[in-house]
Amino acid sequence: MGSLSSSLRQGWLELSSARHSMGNSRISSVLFDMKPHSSATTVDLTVSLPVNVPHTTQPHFSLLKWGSRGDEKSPSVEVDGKTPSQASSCSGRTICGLLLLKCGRRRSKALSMFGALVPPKLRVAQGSFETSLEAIIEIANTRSTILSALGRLQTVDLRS
Amino acid sequence: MANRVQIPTNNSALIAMIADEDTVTGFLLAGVGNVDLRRNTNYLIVDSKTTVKAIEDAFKEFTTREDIAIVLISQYVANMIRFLVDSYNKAVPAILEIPSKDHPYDPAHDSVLSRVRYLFSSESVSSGRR
Repeated sequence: MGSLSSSLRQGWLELSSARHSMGNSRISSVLFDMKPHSSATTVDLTVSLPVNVPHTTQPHFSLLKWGSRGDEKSPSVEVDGKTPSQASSCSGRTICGLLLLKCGRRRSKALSMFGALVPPKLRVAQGSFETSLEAIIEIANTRSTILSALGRLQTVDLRS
Repeated sequence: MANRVQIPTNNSALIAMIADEDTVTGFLLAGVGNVDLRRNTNYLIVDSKTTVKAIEDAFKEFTTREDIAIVLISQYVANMIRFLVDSYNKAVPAILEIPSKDHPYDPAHDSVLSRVRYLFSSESVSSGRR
């Protein structure tokens, strides 16, 4: 939670700086894109069933940032049925390049609701909130582990 | 992972938000925003004019939607609907209480940590009695 608080604080500060340079009306909820569109950053949810503990499930969350798993330096989503590691080195680099381009376009699209030209602070704020999302996924998985353990403890307690 | 069966359930689930404008703005910049064909969003911006009923309705809606995996809620907003948040006991969507600009995170109010404290306090009481 400490790293989440820190990255959120950084993001709020950068957002305030961007608002200061652009003006309050230029960064406002009124400008949010209300046209139907799907989320570029989603969560991959997997449920694991412990074999030795019946009737319990434990969800696991993974972040798909801008449609890619992993970070922008090593994106690991499939393109044409191959991951960059499965493809040959040359096409693997091409796949990585295409993925980075795709991520870059989606990032720019998210920023574009506040105008074509945005200050650098807004881009930095975007990065801070992306970092916050990574912390959030870690916290979600920790929470899932805690709740699963609590459930098992309560089951053991009831039996005894 | 040994002794576990993994079942993929949803590989493009959403993150919902019930928070102040700056927090929602930041996460929308991170690409989390979703608007469906009926113009339903996956977020609720809470300000001074937002009623408790509106927050409750949004919480109930987000926790019953099948396409949402995580619900982020500012802790000060969660405190307004504390009974509802504490009585929520499903694993998915996960409810995460996050700090806001003006209200830092307080672990004493967190729903999950409260449950852990309660369990261990009742354990210590019952082990003391034995």
